Amino acid sequence: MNLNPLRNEISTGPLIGCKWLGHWTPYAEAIAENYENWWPWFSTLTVNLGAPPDFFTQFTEMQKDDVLIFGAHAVLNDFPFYFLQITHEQTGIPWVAPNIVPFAPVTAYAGTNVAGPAKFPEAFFYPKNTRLRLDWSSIDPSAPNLDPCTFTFIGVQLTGPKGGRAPEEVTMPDGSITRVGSRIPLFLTIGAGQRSVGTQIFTFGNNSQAVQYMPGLDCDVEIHDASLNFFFGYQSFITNLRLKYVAMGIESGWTPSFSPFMSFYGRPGADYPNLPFCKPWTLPAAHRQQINMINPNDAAPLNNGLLTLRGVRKCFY
Amino acid sequence: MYFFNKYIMRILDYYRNHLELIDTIAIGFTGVAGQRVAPVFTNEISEDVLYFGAQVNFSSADTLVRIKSISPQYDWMADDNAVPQDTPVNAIAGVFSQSLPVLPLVQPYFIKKQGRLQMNFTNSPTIALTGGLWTWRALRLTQPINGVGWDYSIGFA
Repeated sequence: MNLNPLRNEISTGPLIGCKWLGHWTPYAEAIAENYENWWPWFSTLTVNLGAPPDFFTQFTEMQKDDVLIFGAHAVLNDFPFYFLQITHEQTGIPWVAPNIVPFAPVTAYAGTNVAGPAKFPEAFFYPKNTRLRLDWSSIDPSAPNLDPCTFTFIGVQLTGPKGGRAPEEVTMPDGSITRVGSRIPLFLTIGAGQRSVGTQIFTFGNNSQAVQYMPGLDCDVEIHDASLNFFFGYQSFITNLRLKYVAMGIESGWTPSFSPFMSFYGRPGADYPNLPFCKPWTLPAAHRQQINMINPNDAAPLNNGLLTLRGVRKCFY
Repeated sequence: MYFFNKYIMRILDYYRNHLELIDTIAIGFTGVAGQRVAPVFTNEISEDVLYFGAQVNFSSADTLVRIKSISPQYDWMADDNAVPQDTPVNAIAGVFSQSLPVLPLVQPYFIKKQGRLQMNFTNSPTIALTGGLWTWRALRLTQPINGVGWDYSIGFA
């Protein structure tokens, strides 16, 4: 029998989950080994969005050394309403895949408040002398004037590159060679229910069913975990929401029957705000994912619910 | 949250593809305190499955469960008593509303295709539940490289 153990190696290591426990991915470790010194690094930004709709763009400071960003933390009260798109200005690659929802909830990026930081599915290699652009949005007309959000990137500053410059490629656990900068955190976001023409937010009507699709991408991506931006404390009837998940390209239903939302999606404030898949799954290029959802509640509809899958974009442009 | 030890990697090596599986089973409590309902089973899957973790959609510390595998025949709960003490569900499954809503098993459990897990539930004596859902998070193992896949007898070879 010709087994191929290396093929099954998990590219982000054997411990699955977004909780920040101090462990590194093999990609991050392989990059760091090309530098003399590794130092803790934090970059904190503050944003305060006003009455919706409101938008704000800010940039991280250019760094004099290369940095690996592992995850993020956010201090905020109004977490269901803060949405964020991050773009690496130098390459122009957005972290949230282009879609009718052009951002992800801040809680998909960051652990909140006392729950502590959350890590990205893969460390982001942040080259020196470049910037990250953060585009913040608040669009829900029912949102209040938002309290400020303090957002912190958590990473490692790498100094003294061996050979005088950053590595161009590293070896992954399966033996393959990966270009440094080709593994980028990826967010796929869609709304729960249907989009309202008037307000642009998603509304999931009571006693209704909706089907939504995640966008297909132009290269293979790893999907790691899933989250939503609201939870039962805000919407008591969320406990009754059900979903059935289908990977369209290979027509594989993941759920024999409808399953509770909370068995699939993590929620803000939990140990794992992005609930992991048992094993990261490779979504082939151009394949879409279907979410068939049911809201059997008789009570008021769910407004402004966003569902996010996180993963790793494996493209190199 | 999930840890892939060498035993699990050895099983995965026998398959080309591993797909997420989320299997929700209705328990069927009818609101009777201490009620022992008829056994419920996981759905039969047409491929081999590795079960990683579980969740319940209710919060009740004294609801009990006894789990056994039908094929292979294996009782998860070691107990030699004439009247066995069943296990609180919170020892095995996460609660949807808690910080860790899916509780990973100490060791993922392998079942060949068409195999099933049987679960015997006992309703809480203090908070009589109605309904109740149990959800397994698992991996469906497809395209076995040797045409058969892993088997119980192989072990950590």
